[in-house]
Amino acid sequence: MVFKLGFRNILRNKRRTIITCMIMGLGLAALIFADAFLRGLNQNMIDSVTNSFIGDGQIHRKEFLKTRELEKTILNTPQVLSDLNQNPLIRLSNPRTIASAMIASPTDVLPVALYGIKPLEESLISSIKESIIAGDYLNSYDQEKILIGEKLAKFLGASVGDKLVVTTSQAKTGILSQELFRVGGIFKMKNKDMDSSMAFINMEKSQSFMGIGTDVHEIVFKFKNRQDVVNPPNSFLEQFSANDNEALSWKKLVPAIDAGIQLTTYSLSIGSIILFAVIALSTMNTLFMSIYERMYEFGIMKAIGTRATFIFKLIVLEAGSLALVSSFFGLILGNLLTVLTRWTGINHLTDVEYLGTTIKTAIRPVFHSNQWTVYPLAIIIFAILAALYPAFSAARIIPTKSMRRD
Amino acid sequence: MSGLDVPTSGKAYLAGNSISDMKGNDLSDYRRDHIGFIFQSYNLIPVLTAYENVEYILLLQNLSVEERKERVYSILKEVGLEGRENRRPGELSGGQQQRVAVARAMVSKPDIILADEPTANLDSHTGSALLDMMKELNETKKITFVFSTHDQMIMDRAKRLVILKDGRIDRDEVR
Repeated sequence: MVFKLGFRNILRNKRRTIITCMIMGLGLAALIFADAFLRGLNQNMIDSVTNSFIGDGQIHRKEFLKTRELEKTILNTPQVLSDLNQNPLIRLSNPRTIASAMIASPTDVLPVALYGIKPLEESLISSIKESIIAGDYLNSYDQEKILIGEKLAKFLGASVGDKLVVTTSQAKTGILSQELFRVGGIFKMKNKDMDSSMAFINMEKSQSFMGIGTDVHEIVFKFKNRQDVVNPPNSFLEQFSANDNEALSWKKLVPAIDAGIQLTTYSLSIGSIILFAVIALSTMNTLFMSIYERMYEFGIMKAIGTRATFIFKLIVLEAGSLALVSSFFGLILGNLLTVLTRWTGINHLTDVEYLGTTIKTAIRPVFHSNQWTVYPLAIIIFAILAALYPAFSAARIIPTKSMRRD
Repeated sequence: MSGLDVPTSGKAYLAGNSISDMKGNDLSDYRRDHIGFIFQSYNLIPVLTAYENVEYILLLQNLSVEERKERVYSILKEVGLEGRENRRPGELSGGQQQRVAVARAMVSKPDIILADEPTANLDSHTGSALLDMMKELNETKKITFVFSTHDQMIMDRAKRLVILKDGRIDRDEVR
């Protein structure tokens, strides 16, 4: 009987029920979509960072990232590369050399970060090759070519085929070393720093140019599993941090992105709490209005022998039922919105630079079990909690007083 | 007398029980099992059908489905509402609603039925028919009806008449 009464009471004032259901349902739909969108945004940012140049993680000699000293090359490079290639977690790894250099054209001289790369291996791990907008990508047989960013080319007034002089100091001796390169290609990574202050040459050339023999400064690696990308395993990082080397995940290499992801998660939590509070207050308001309208009826029910607990249960059930129906529609709407936007992609943020990373592809909202379980359950629990006080008030109605009030 | 109000002084006894000393669930259960109520404006639960309104009190008493069904159909037949079981209060006339209220009051087989101005919202013909039905139930089922009323029709039919004046008993006559 309590179920029958509860459901029929909900249908009693259809307009009010629909409005309350809309608030709850739309709230849940917004929450589901916001969660999916932020997960998509986070995934996009991680992909933008890890697929463009940084990789899922890197190995350096300790202190190299702080000092950028040419001498600080990775210890036992062949062994480290071999270990990486045999590690079951690793899909790809690739060495690089790095030096601070000056690059000169007939019109200007600018500082750059000069990278030595293995063209073929690098093309599998970063997006330099796909970012070439003029000329060609490097090849291993033409050691005199250099790749520069679009902005750097503009500052230097250089175009494909032009000569550039690069100067750096050699490791150990500190003797200045100069080399003439031809611009082989111009890239546009859509990242201000990379496009204005980075240049790439062949690995072998860079090693002789920097005077580091066959050593390297950086090994970039990519994990096989996406889960390891999102949460790089500590045991792996510790394993490759031995012998004065240091393995760091993208989280440590680009802490702003990790902080940004945590911030979006935190923002979602705050948004959820506000939304739940709105839903709880709306439910409470609806129930109080409903109780006020039915004061006399509750008085009669109590007069003819209904226990207070029955009325308490009735009100809680009405709130629970409202939340259940609303959650159902909210789930459908939220997931429909997620499916649609996942299909079409959200392009409004494409090419926008955020926290030093350029969002390169459309954001596609991501499904997560929370959207099906935690959020709808939370809505129902909040609605029931919000119903406790009105239910308690209704249960305490004194028949004679409520019947006189009518 | 109904257990709805607390006496300002003294005690109220019903069928030998001090209802003024009862509280909470005990008092609710006592009203449910021993007192039937008929109100001036019927006061049926609007979202329930005639059948369900009458069945409601039996559900509170935790009776079995079969017993509830038997008693509800029987009482609705007695009050002349056979065939109208599935109508909601809004689909019944005033007289029919009051008959449902009478059925609801009687179905739990109470010791006493308290009727507060039961004919006030009915036309004289319907009111008279309802009172005749109550009188018959009183005589056949031996249920005591206590009315609070200004209606001469009720007073004419009552076996005992207690006249109240300014909250005090002015006259008490047994016919």
